[in-house]
Amino acid sequence: MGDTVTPPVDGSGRTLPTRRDLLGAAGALAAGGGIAGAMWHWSRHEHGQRAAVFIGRAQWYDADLPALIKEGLNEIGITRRQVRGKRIVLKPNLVETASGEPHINTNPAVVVAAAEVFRRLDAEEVIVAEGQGHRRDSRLVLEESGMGRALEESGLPFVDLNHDEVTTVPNRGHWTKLGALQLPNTILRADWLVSMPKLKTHHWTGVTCSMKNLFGVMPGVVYGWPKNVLHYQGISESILDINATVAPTLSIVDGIVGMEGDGPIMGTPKPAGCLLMGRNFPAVDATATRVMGLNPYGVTYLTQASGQLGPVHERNVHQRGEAIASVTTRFDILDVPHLQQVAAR
Amino acid sequence: MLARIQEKSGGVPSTPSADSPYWPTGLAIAAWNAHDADSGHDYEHPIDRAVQWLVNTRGCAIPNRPDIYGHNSQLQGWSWVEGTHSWLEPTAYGVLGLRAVGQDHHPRTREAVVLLRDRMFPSGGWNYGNTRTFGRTLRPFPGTTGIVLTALAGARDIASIKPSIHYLNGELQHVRSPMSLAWGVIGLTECGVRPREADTWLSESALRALGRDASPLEDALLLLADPKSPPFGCDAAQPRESQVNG
Repeated sequence: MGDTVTPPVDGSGRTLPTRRDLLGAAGALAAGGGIAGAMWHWSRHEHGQRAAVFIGRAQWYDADLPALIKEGLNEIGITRRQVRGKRIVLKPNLVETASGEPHINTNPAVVVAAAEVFRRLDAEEVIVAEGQGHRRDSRLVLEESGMGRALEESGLPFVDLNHDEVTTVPNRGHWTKLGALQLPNTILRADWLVSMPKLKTHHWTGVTCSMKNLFGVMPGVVYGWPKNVLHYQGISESILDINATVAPTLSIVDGIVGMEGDGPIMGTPKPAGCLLMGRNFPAVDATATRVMGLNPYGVTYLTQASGQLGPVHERNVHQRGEAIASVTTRFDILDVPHLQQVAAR
Repeated sequence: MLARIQEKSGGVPSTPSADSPYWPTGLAIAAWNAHDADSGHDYEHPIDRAVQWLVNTRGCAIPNRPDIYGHNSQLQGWSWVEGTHSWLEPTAYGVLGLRAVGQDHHPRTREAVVLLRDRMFPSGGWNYGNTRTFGRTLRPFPGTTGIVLTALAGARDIASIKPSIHYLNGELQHVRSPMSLAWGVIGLTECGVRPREADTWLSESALRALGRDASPLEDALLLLADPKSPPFGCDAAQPRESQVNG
């Protein structure tokens, strides 16, 4: 499925990896440096990028999640002044539903808690929006996941991004060959886009978290169910283009109960007992990968994001709250050749 | 509206914007055909162009990989976006469009019907179009099951889709979201097995919808599921020679 390394062409003035950079990384591996060598290389080329990521403990969904999220916002430097008057879109990960398998989707308690915090911080508007990749009937997913009732009780409106009005915007990433992306107007009008993924393994990309969750902003009426045009363009490359173009603001990861094995749908529940938060998505997702006991340098879109969209190397991520090691729990991953590097310790 | 936004190629876009894909083309044919019969309006040319688009457009075949996915990926129906693989809904809409104008035996219709049957779960029902990934059987959805049953209604070998009818009857006992319920009822109705409780379910669904923001798509589907307006009625259609070129 096209997870090849394609050097980006960037019109925004960012420093890009040269052919020599990429060959240097490959050379580090070939010269026997292995993963450690590649990590050194990517660390060196993160161009001074630094980002803060917060990890907070929550053993179950009845914990005081608003307090934990507020603490996380404080730790990563988000103030009331920054939130006041903003139109905030919360984008959970709703995929599909199955009886007795709530670990497929972001838990409604986390979404409601985030909304409560943003409202207390004087956000002008908080809405929840999603565009599932497989199931076209959003209302059924809302009803069966319990998200619909939770949103209704909290007075939170929901927008089905799959059927939203769309606007064509230039692709600011250029990792794929797509010259433009068609995005929902709800996303384009938002001041803040908050990705709220579930901490899960993924049978194609290894890990799905803040960055992959943004596949769900791509409208199904344009990209289909599944959003197969993005698969043809390369899943990793599409993830990077979407992230570069929509410029998300914040990630709040539901890692209280995640999914291991054959994610993102058919895997088994994996309690990790934590929330992760951060403004830089590669940094958050690299940390999430470490919490899962997996190798971020085996996740193609993270290696490509390193130094472009944000830092991946642990040295460049400022850890807030709990230490990674205190919450790390090894997630099983499918035993298939294309995920061997993700599973490598 | 549909005729106005139809492209020269015959494709009908999913939104009025120029960059949209053309997966609704089969549905547009069914709509024009039904309107034609009711009102005397002549949509012959838009229908002809749309049929030509369907006949000349196909989803991409990819190598079979039974270790990765469960369907025969060499079969070609229609894709959501040109240049990509064939998936369930656009293929079902293509079949509906061609059957609406009597093209049940066109080679494209026949291959698409084989594709739809190939992607049915052994225990009944369909999802978005893949029964298995990495050795694990996936889950069927009521909405797409209703759509595919609508496309396959009237086809021979109805016995092979009985597990799907059984699955859908079970699901609709508790599904009240308009999209899935309406397509489910339409599919069962087209197969001649409309549940006795269907009208009650539809009323419950419509009443729930009253408290929400209006959704033209959901409202339209609930109306199509009304017993007084059989939506597709493909069986009576006769082929027109002008539509079979290509």
